[in-house]
Amino acid sequence: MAAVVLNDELNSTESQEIVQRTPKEIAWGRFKRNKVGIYAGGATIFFLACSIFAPLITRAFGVDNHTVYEGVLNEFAMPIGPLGGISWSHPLGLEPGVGRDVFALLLYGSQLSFLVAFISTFASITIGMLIGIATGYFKGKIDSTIGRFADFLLSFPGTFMIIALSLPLVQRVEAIGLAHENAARILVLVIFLVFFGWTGFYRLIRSQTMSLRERDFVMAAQAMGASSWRIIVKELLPNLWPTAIVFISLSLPGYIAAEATFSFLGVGVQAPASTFGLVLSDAVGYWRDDPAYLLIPCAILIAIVLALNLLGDAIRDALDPKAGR
Amino acid sequence: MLKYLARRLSATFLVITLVSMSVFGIFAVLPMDPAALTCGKACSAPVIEANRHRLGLDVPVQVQYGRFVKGLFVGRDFGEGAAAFHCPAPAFGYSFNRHECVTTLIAEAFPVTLSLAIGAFVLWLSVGVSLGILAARRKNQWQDRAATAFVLVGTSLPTFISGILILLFVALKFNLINPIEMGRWVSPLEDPVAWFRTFIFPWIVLALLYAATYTRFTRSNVIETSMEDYIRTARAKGLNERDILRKHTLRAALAPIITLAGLDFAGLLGGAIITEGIFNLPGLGRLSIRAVLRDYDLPTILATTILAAVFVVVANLLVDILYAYIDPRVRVAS
Amino acid sequence: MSGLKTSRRILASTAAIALAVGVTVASGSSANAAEKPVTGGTLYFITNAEQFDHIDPARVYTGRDIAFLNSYLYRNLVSYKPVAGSAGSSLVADLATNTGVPSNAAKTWKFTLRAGVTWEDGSPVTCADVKYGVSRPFASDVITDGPQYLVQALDIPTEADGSSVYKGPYKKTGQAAFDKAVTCSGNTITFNLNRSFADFNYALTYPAGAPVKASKDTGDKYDLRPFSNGPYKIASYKIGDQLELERNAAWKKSSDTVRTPYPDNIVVRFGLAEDVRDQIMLEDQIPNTASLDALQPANLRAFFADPTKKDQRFNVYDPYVRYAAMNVKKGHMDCLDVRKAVFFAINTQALIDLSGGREFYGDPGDNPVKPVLGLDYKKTTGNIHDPNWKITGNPTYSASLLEKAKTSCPDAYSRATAADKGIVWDISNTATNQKAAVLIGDALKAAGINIKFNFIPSGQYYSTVQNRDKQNDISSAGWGADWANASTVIPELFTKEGGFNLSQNWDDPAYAAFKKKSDATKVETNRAKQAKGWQELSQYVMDQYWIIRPVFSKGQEVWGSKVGGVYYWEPQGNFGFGGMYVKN
Repeated sequence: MAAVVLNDELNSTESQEIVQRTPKEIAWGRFKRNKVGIYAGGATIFFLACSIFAPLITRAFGVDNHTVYEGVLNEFAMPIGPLGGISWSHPLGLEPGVGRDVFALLLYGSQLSFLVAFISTFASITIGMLIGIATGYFKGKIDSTIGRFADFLLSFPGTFMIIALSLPLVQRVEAIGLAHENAARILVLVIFLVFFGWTGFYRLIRSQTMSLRERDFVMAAQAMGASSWRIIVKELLPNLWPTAIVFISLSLPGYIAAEATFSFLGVGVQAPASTFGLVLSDAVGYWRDDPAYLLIPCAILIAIVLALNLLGDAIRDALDPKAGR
Repeated sequence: MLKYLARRLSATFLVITLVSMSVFGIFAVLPMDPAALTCGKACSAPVIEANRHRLGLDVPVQVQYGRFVKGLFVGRDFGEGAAAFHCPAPAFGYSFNRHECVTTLIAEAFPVTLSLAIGAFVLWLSVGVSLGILAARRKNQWQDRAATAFVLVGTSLPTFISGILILLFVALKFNLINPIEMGRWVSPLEDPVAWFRTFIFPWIVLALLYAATYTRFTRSNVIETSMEDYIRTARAKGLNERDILRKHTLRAALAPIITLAGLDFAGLLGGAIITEGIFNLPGLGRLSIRAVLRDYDLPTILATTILAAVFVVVANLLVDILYAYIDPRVRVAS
Repeated sequence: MSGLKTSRRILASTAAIALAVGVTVASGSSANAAEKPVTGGTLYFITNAEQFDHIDPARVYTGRDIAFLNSYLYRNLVSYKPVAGSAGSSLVADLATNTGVPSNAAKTWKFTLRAGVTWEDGSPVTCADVKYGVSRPFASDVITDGPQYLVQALDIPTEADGSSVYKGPYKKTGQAAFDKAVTCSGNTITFNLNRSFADFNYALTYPAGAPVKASKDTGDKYDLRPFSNGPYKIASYKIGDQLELERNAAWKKSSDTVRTPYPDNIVVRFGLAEDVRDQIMLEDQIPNTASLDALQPANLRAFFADPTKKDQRFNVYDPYVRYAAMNVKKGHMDCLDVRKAVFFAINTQALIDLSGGREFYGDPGDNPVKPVLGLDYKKTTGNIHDPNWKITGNPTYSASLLEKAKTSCPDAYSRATAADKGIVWDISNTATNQKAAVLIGDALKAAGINIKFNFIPSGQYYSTVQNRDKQNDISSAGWGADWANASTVIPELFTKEGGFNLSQNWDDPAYAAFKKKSDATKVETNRAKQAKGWQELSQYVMDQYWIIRPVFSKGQEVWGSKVGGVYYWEPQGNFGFGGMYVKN
């Protein structure tokens, strides 16, 4: 794939002055020219930094995600003040009924969302990569068996099975003592997301491996008597990484949205932890009285997913200009 | 062709058997005891045993599976003595929670899910494909940018968020739905207007997501195809743009979309859990979720899971056959 | 709201937990006496629930469902008087010509049937039909969830495992034993009981004692289409959609002194989204509608704040006490000091505010028995009357109790405080409970107690926690007396044989004495003496902290501007459905 990229770039009119640039430099150069991508990248880094440094940021604002603030709710347990109690001390308002700080809840909540999304993505990638390369390179019986199995998995109603099976599985995980409470719930959710999610990447890698296998440079290596291991590591992997990066950048927003959806449906983490899905499922009951409590988390979640999507598009355009155009 | 058909059909049958067996297996090994959930109060061992027997869970899982398969072909009897009754074939089991044969429940829910799927399908396909073509033809003009913006918003809005926002801040806020009739099943043959009103918002919510994906997909396919040599040739021969698009570009560009659409549609037939939940539609998605959350109503859970998988498998078969029909090379290759 | 499996008047598990010093009971009635009821029209009811838990008379067990079905579809031997206020708790003869004649120290009860009562097909309701109806709850593998009073009280031998030798009318095993316990002679039915049961006729207000016509019994499916002998019959019933009632032409006013059927049609719409239901009520979109559910807290406040709606609502003390049951079995909450530490730490005010405040949610209580039970309630000492109790929580006092526990019960102390262990609290998984968990966790942390929550899907909540192996340290629950006698509270909640014992208290050294006193009080026929017994037992329960933070809860009902004749039917804790009509 990288070779294709290189040729395209050299043939194109805009890059005549370039004589020797690595594919990486070319991709980066192309990415830098995409303003939307730069902004999306900036926004993504901002959201990630907020999430990672949630403890520091909340301390700077003088709030945290577990304190039940006093005197911020009226006698009906609704936030005092406009827009759900937005003020200098509570920048995104307060949680009705309880009185925790929404800003802190969402910051810490985004940690969980990113955690689930990153683990799921990397686990899917690892599994998809290993199996994809193995089946694509060696072909044969294993390839057709695994291909059938992947087709088979795709036929199951994944969303429903996650909902139906998560409670009993969490109980089992806790009984074994593998993990407890929210850790167990996150583990089960991630396992499910990966279980139903690796096939997409596997197919992509498999088909790429199959086409790379027929390419001259691989043939040449084989002719020179290189071992399969060497060919995979030295020849195939370097050519597969752009695909992996594009896939990661496009999977992340999907997994963030999926985590929010499942916690909204009651699968996944539970109080006193918070995630976007939990806050939103709670906020629906207050939409008339406190619409800000619903709309603010909605807007932030959409912004995160949007930023990641835009970044993913930009990365894909940079690494593989043919795909999106 | 016939040989190919026979081969594909038997493979599909095998997959369906495997799917149903695995679903039975998965739910059987879980530490969930539906019998213990049927009686809470003074749930003495004999009462639990009696209920386990009543639910048919007192025998090994392979026997349960055997009864299930048999029931599909010859129907099934439940209960004992004067309280016995029969579910006619194809019997998916009996829901003691709903006091109905599961087949009846599915038959009631299916038209709802089908209506939802068809309407959303038509909407997303027409919007997605036409927007994609427009964007491709007006590449880098404002139409393309607008389409790109639509794609971004559509793909970045989780269904539960667009569903809630549309329900609360559009449908309810402006009284666009008859609230007491919301989500009620009305046959389009009896009252097409009421049917349309029931489904229009759910269609929009579902279509929003899919239309975005299809716009993106159509756009890139059309652009890619229009750069193919034979299109250049056609253009060089002096054919006008409209004919090129209609006769050459679209034919090639839309074929993979049909495949994708077939599978997406089949996926929806298993039940759109979130959309049905938010808009109170009594379809297969709500039937299955209710079965999980209320009583862990195993016969309903098994039946809806298996059915959803069967829809996808069958859709795969149909798409493959369609392809084989279009492209004879496929028949030989697989 | 759903899945009240099991037993009697268990509070719906979706209802919020929280807390609650009970005072007198406000009786709600907005029925304007001057207005004349209108006959005709369609009366709607709306609910978020997908269905009535049951409509088979032998299986129905929640106040609302009983009130609804008993007003419209089927008649019992005796019924509660359909009037507002405490007069509503008195019995009237319904199918019978009297409210029962006890003899043999209240071990034998006779009822004579009224003449001229018919089924919806015009055939007469006979003594055999009543007897058949009473036999059905014995078929425990078909008739699940209904009240067990008749099964437990009728004089039929039991087997080694405690179940009756009579297996119900479908299998007919042990039919002879049943035929001896319930006899028909002409129009008179006689019940022979295994103990003195001074208020047996109250147990017959449950439709489990209502007649069923054997030829129309469809077993499990009878729960979809019971055969009617009341003023309405079922036109259609589809779970998740609607229940539609139409007039029963065979019903004659002359045979029924209790019911006043005004509307021509009654429709219950199920499965409305909570937001949609609340919108209908708040904006009076369908004025001939009443909501079967309370609105969401914020919307409820808006409804009650609107002066134009002052005749469309009531706010009363419901029949329930909500509480947190302490599982005192060894290894759980077996240490009194730890139980007390939990109780004194909790911020009661915040929990009440969360669920609608004192105005809508209820008051902190001091007793498992609600003041609405009159005689049987007496203000207890200790608990919320303890000078150390603060409504916003007293972490300092709570920490001092923990300090005592360190020496009095070190095991329990370490379980309650260790970071890797902690007390586990069962709670149903609702949005409000997720928040309550945060408030409780926060308050207990201040006292040094580590608490964790086990969220259980609402539909499976009670069947899970009533499983003795699955129940954790503390379980949220709610209970309402079956009739105005604490015999339907104390023995049910705190003896091993009780139907709703979440305290698992039978290994407690003091249990034997408690049980003996409870058994004696149950069969005491002097009502004043009996009341004193219940009061003393309640005090004991509170002193042991077997339950903590009872709340004397409130309930609200709202209806549209075109619905008239609404009153609060106290014994059922719900609408007096029979008086409701659609205004012109």
